[in-house]
Formats: sequence, structure tokens, C-alpha cells
Amino acid sequence: MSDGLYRRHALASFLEGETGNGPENTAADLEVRPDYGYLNLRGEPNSERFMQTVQKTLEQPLPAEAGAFTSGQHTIYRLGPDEWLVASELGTENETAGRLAENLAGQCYSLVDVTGGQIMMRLRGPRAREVLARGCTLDLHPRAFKAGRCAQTTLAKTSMLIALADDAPTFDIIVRRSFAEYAARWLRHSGASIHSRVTPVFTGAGGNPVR
Amino acid sequence: MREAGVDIFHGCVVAGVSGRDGVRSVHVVSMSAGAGAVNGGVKTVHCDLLVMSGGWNPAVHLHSQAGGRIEWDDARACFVPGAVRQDHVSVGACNGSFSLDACLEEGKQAGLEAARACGFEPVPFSTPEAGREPPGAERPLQPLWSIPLPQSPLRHPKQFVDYQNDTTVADVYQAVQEGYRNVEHVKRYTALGFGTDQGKMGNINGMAVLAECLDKPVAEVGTTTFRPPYTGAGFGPCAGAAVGELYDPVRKTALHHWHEAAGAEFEVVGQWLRPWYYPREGEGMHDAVARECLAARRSLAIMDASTLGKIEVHGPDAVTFLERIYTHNVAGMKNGRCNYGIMLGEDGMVMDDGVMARLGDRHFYLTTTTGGAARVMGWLEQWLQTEWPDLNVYLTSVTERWSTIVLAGPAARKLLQGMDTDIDFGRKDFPFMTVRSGSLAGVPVRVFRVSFSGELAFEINVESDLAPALWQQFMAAGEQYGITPYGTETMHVLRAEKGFVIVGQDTDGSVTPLDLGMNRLLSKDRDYLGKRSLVRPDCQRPDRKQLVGLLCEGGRESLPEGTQLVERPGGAPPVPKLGHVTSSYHSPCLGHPIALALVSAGRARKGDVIHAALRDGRHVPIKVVSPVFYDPKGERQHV
Repeated sequence: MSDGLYRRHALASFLEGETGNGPENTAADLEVRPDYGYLNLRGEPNSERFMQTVQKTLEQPLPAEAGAFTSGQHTIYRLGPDEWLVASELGTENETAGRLAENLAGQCYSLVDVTGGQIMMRLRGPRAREVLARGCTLDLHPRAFKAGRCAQTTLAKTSMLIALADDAPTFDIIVRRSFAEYAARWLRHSGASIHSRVTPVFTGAGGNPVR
Repeated sequence: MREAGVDIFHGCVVAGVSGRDGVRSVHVVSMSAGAGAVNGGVKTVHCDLLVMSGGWNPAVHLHSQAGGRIEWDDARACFVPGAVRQDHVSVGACNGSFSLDACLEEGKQAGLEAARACGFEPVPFSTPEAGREPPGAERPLQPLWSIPLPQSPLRHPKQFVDYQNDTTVADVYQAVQEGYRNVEHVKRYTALGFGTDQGKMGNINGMAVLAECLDKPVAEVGTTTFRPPYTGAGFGPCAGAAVGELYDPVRKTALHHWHEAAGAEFEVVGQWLRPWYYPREGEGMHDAVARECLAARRSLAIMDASTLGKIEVHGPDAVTFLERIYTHNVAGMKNGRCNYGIMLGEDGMVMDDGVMARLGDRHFYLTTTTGGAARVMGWLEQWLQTEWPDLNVYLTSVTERWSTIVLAGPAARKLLQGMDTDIDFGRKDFPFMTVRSGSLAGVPVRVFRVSFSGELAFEINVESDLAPALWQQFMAAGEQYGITPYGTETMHVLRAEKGFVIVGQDTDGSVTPLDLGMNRLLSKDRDYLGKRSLVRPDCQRPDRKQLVGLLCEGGRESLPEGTQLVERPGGAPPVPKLGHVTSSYHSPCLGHPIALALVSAGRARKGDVIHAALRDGRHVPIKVVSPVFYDPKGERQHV
């Protein structure tokens, strides 16, 4: 990139106003994570050829079950019967997309780079479940929603892709870009409602949402 | 109490109250244990307050609302939950068990049972010993539904049973005398239990009085239906956290902070905040919009159009699918070609519009209106998933992935050619209504040469995180051309000067493409959604409202949007209406106001003078003209 070019995170203005004040008990930490490129992949799950090509190219299994994700070099979320979201380190998505397109040539599929269109936040802490449950109709009880599961569901007045990474619990929450500020405000408010603090912190390289 | 000087009367009841605007005294009479009659001996006690205890009543409402039966319990003199219809159980006070021990025990048993029912092995635990109430410590209730007086109940002094609706014992007896027997009928005749407490205070008493009057057991008289809510629900619990900044999501574009710093006024469009106009020091809206309009017409202006809905369409059946949705010739579009497209509802009415670009043989890109983005995506998916599952087509929303920057004005090409880019912006290589991909100022972009202003214009799609940097590069490079940011108001003026409609402003769900004069966009040799509706006789009526332009005869008068149009002033009401003004602006480049309107048989009226009926009673003569006020041949956008 030439001089004068920089990336500005969707929550840059919002994070500037963050003071970190609030109740003292920490319910959960809210990390605003910037460093992903996203590819939306659609294709026929019953086509052995399609599944094999993708898995070989990504060197990672595609989640076979509904509502599951796989981790590795990429995190691959199954969004629907014929739709996956592939999250990779920012800057590598172009190359990944190129390889997929090359190997899938002639097959019926759709591959769309949606980088910049979604924001990932990581909510981690003992009361993370409570914080989320106040605005989510999905049953988040450990019995019903285990680590390795993901789902597209509601978060108060917006929607999210939610994935449970581990039993800390650590929830990865992906929202559409323009709803990120609302989601972050809502999560902070939900924490305050149970007298606990949810402080959004930017965890990107250099800690600066504008770089 | 006695030591404090309070008189206590055993075996007595209050048989009457005196006072005009409040309680002044009560009359106490003694009563025998059987409650059959009062024993005279009236004693008057001066006081200003009378308090009554109604005893305990289980809140059986939820049980009843869940379909459970209610049973009368003579010993406790109250209704208690009977058989259930759903999987629920009442415990504690709402089950008629008023002692703490009983409450704890019932709660524990119900909890254990619920756990078992869910397939869990309950962990045994013990409840705390309450132990304050030895069995039988409380003497059984002696119900007293009304004070027996010597005269007939109908002649009694007022004995209120419903303290909210002032229903009396006499009212209940009156109802029975009128022939009402069913408790639901008596309720409606007397208004018993109709107050805001929904009978919580007086219903049991009222029903028992009714039972006495009918000489039936209370169990047989039964109870009225318990309807939710048990208590009024406050707005607070309904609203929850959805107040203030959390009332509704506020969607901001990737360039929002720049607009704010530039002093923009914002307009709410759907959930989005869009720059409306950018007033400079001392400028009002009118001045700012005029300056922005002239910049676009004379040199160079820049706008954030990121809120447009954007959808990518992939798949071997993409053309087939889009030809069913859109009205124009999709198959004939070459790769790299853009087309204006409209989609119709099944009723043939214009539903949404936007630009369609063909990015490959099986690859298209669509834009939708800002407010229609979600609706259109749902509409497309609905047809794909429920009606045409045989089509191999995939849709992906890219609204948020791309930010869209519009450069409009005669200097737009020069600006872009002066930047570091691998795209040939030359007139021949990048003609009007085409799309190019490449790199601009070091970032990957998709550039659409389309125009909503009628000027030479380029719409640049860039990844949202990079949009602020690219915008700033445009601002710096455009300084020599007087680059001017413009907002939605100027966008509206520019498009109205060109007669471009806004779906939802110039249309209202009752407007066909024929009404808008878009016949050229309608493919003749194939079917599409809404096509059949267009040949209905009503859609073919020559007097349908059609899109036209309006000019005030010689005047400078700006017509308010929504103004009704009539043939001539005066006439006896009801005056036939010809239509209404849908858009109205002052046109800075023409120097006079312009308006778009839907007018009955409008196209045939071109050149005619009709009248605008203003709210102050005046009628202004106006001329019906073409909706294209500026550059009717479209030469400016083709340069």
C-alpha cells in the first residue's frame, strides 16, 4: 500500500470514548478483535467433489454438522446447509480465495470476500453466559450449547454469529459491521445490569484501531 | 394494643359507617358465633379510617390462565388450584398452603419432581426448619360474606363488595332477581370484578354473596375467568434496556467520523445515519444545498453512498433467476455492463430499484435502496428457497463489506486519472454504465460508472476499513477542483432535476413502471414477477396517475410535498383530485423551484395548466411538464 493509506476499524470512534469506568466486578472481558479476513463460501454439501476440493485446499475439515465450526489455520463456521464462513488472518484471504477459485473451477459454488463487513468480538469470563443470555433467545446452557458449537441468532435488536470456543467460557461473537457499536454498547449495558463490568478493549496489533 | 389505649371488641363486626366526605365513625355490633344474626347493641366509634382484612386468597390466576381448573375449598374458604392441563404445578401460598413449612416442603417436592421430569437425578437436600406454626395453631376461618341485617338485602344500607366499582350486596341480589344465575352474567350485570384490580379484592366475597342468594354452595357457583395480566405490566419491563442509546441500533458508515468532523447534519434513513448536508460557517440548509448542487454540476462533488444495499449473485442459473426477478433484459448484458433495474411485486407495483452489474458469465452484483436492502434480500431468498429450489443460485449480502464513494461532476474523470491506478478511466475504455475492477491509490476497488445525478460520475466500492483513507485521498487530490462533499438533500435535488424517482418517495406501492414511464425497461418476450398484473384493466387505465414534472406558472412558489392537485380552483366539494406532489425542491442550477408529481393521465396533460390546492386556501396555477428538467438528452453523464 502506498503512503497515506491506513485501516480504520469500525469501532475506532466508539473505543476512543471508552473510559473503562463502571462496576468493579468483572463479568467478562470484551475483546474487539480486528485481525481477520472473511470469505463466504456456498456450495453443495452432498457433492463429494466440492467438499473434498475445499477441504484439501484449506487443509482443514469443513464442519459437517449443522451449527459447528472447526479451528486450524482458518476458523470455519457452518452458517447453513450450504454456507460456510471462513475466517483467516487478515491479508491472507485474497490468496486463500484465489486458491479456492482455482481448484473449484468448473464446479457450482459461490465464493465472496466479505472482509470488512463483519466485526468479531470475544467475550470471555465467568459471567459471559449471563451477559449474553439477557439478549439472546438461544439456550446457552452448557448442556445445550457446548464448546465447538456456533449459531446464528439474535443479540437484543441485532443478529450475531456466536461460537463457543472453550468452557471459560469464551464466546466469539461476529456481528455485521454497522451493528458492532450497538452490540458493544448492549454487552456493556448487560454487564452493568448484573453489576459487573464488560469493558471493550481493542486487541489488534499495536492496540490502535487506526493503523 | 390494649395498653396503648386501643379498644378491642371480640365477637363484633362493623355494621355501618358514617361520614360525608370521609369516614367519621363506624358502628360496631356484636354477632353470635354462627354468624346467623347480629345481636343489636350498636356502639359508635369515632375514627377517620376503616381497614378490612380479606384473609388469604391463593393467586390461582397463572394456574387458571394455563388452563387449570379451580376448586372451592370449604375449610380454607377460598378457591385453590385443581386439575392442571399443562405441565405445571402450584406450590405454597398460590396452592392455598399458607404456612411457611408447607410452602418450603411443597416447593422442594415440586423442584425435585421437575428435575426428575427433565431427566436429571435430583440431589437430596433439606429445607430449613421454619417451625413457628405448630399444627392447628390457627383457628379455622369463619367466613362472613355479608352482615346479616333484619331487612331484605335489597333494602340494606350500602354494603360494598367490589371497592373499585362500588358493587354492593344489593346489586348482586338485584341481578339474581332480574334472572341472572350464571356467575359470568352476574359479573357483567353488576360490573363486579371489572375494576383495575380485576376482582382481586372483592370477587370471592361477591361470588359467595351470589351463592348465598342462590342458596347454593360456592363451589357450584364457581368463579369467573382469570385473564392476564395479573397486574398491569409497566412500560419499563416491556422496554427493558431498549431506551436511550440502546433504543434501536444506530448504523453508521465507515466514514461517519469524517462527516461529523466536517460538521455534517445527519438524516435518519432506516436505521442508518446519513450526512444530510454540510453547512459551512453561517450557512443555512438552503445555502449549503445550493452550494453542493452547483459544485456537482460545475466541477466535482463527493458523497458517501455506503448505505446502499449490495448483493452478490453467483451460480449457473443466475441469469434465469434475475430475469424472473427484474424486468429488463439480463441475458443480453455483456460482462462488465451495468443496467438500471426495477423489481415488481406480484401485483405489478414497483417494489425496489437499483443498479445491476454483470461481473462474469455466472456472477452479478445488485444494489438496492438503503431502506429496502433487507426486504429485497428476503424476497430473493424466498423465491429461491420456496418456489425455485431447482435453480442453482447463491446470494451473499455485501452491504457492509463495501463502502461506496460517489465522485460526481465534470472533473471526476480528471481526478481519478491523476491518481495512482491501473484502471483506464478514459472515455472510450470506461464508457457510461460499465464497471471496472482494479487498484486505486493502492487499494483494490470496484468502480461503477453510473450516475444518479445526471453528471459524469463514478461510484467507487472499497473495503470498509480502507474507505476513510481513500476518501481523504480524494479530498486531497480534489482540492484543485474545489471538491465538495454533499449529502442526501443535494442527492435528492440532483436526481429530481433529472426526473429520477426514489422508490418509496415518488412511489407508494400503488405505482407501476408504466405509470413512471419506464416502458423501455419492460422485457416484452419473457415473463417476470408482476408482468401479468400489468395487463390487468386497472393497470391499463389511461387515467392512472403518472409521473410528471410541475413548474409554477411564472412564480417562485415552492410546493410542499404532498400538495393535492386539482383541475381548477373552486367548485362544489367533493372536488375531484388529480394527484399529488411527490418531490419538491428549489433547483439551484435552474434558478427556480421544480416538483415531481403523480397526476391522473399526466403524460397527456403535458403543457396543460392545473392547480395546486395549498393549505392556506390559495390555488396556484402550475404547468405540467416532462419530469426531466435538466439535460433531457443525458449528454452530461455520457461525456
